[in-house]
Amino acid sequence: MSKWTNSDGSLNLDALDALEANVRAVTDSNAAIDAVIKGAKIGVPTIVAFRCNHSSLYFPADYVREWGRSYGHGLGPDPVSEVLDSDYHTDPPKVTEDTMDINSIMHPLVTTRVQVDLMNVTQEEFDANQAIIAIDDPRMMKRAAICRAKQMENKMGGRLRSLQANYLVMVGARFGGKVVA
Amino acid sequence: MQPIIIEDNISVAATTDVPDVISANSSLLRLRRLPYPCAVKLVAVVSAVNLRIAFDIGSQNFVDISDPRVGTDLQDPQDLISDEMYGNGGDILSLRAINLTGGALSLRYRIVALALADLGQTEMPPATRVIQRQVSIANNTVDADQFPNLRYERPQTDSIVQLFGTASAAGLTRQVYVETTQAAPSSAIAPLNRMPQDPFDSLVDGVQVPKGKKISLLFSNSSGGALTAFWKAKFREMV
Repeated sequence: MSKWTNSDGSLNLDALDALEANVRAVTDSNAAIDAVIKGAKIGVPTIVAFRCNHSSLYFPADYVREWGRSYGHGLGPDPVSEVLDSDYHTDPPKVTEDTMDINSIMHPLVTTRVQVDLMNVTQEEFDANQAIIAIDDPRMMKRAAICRAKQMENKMGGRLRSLQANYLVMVGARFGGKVVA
Repeated sequence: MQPIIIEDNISVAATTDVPDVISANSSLLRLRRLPYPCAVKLVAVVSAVNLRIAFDIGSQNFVDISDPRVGTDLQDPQDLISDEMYGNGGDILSLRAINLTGGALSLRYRIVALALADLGQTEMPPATRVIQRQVSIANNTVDADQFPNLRYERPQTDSIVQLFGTASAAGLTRQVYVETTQAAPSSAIAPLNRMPQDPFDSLVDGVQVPKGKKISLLFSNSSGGALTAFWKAKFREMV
């Protein structure tokens, strides 16, 4: 049983009505709804989601319908992706004596603002690749940690890695000890 | 005289308050001090929300802590913060950036200073103070005042106030009071979901606020969910 079917095997019309409202926000085509119904009948349930064209991460089905309410604050009237990306072309902030935490130093993050596309995906795929919504992470603590880890791994992140090394040396000097990185 | 143009794209570390962004770039240091009386313009964008700026000329604040538009490209006049700021020769330009998030963000800004003499001005024009913010307004909120605890809640000089605003989605209304006098009755705000642009997103113009009197910008949200209000206020000193 999926969210589209009741326990007796009949279609869950309330869930399908909500789905239709979400799809109608972007298209008059029934293709996405038909795919959901067909999948539910043959036992391969899918859901509707919006995919970020930059990161391939998924947003919930109401992403466009709830634009400006639950999603995309300040990003203009037309729905775009609110996923963050790293700007490797801008240097990270300088490490100074006032830098208390090396995790505050990284290449700056930018909102990608790319196109989002309506997709039919399985619930498992959606769960595995769901974007962190901005209103769930208003201070970017979760998203910044993910992006910083990616920057440290990226071949364009050499500047950040050297800054981290400098920071460790500075901290070592500050406390008069040896640095073991 | 040639204009003084300071332009930079600088990253601001997570949870950091940088009191002087211009000085962070050593090549711009020599441009910080105005050589003669100037009219100054500030244009800025940030790479994501919650990076705020403030701007002083000499000891005077002209832009209180404000949210610029989210973007990666400077568009003038779309991203204009203020172009009615004035400083005397010798005044230092000071741009402050406050990153409230857990990730580094970038601030792209341009400051242009034009000699007042070139503009045909012999006296310092009246200053205009600016603040622009984005705030979340909870569902079913009635008359949430935006000015309490802000620097210009009670202007220190007689001022003419101009207000701009947009809403993230439909359902937000505004009204304006000066003390107990209703300067603008309740009216809907356009759901443009962006920082307001001068002059396109004007809400109210010409509101007179005497020195020390309280101005109230009240937002009401009649929708079922929280909405974000984007607003900008310009306080022009009366002479």
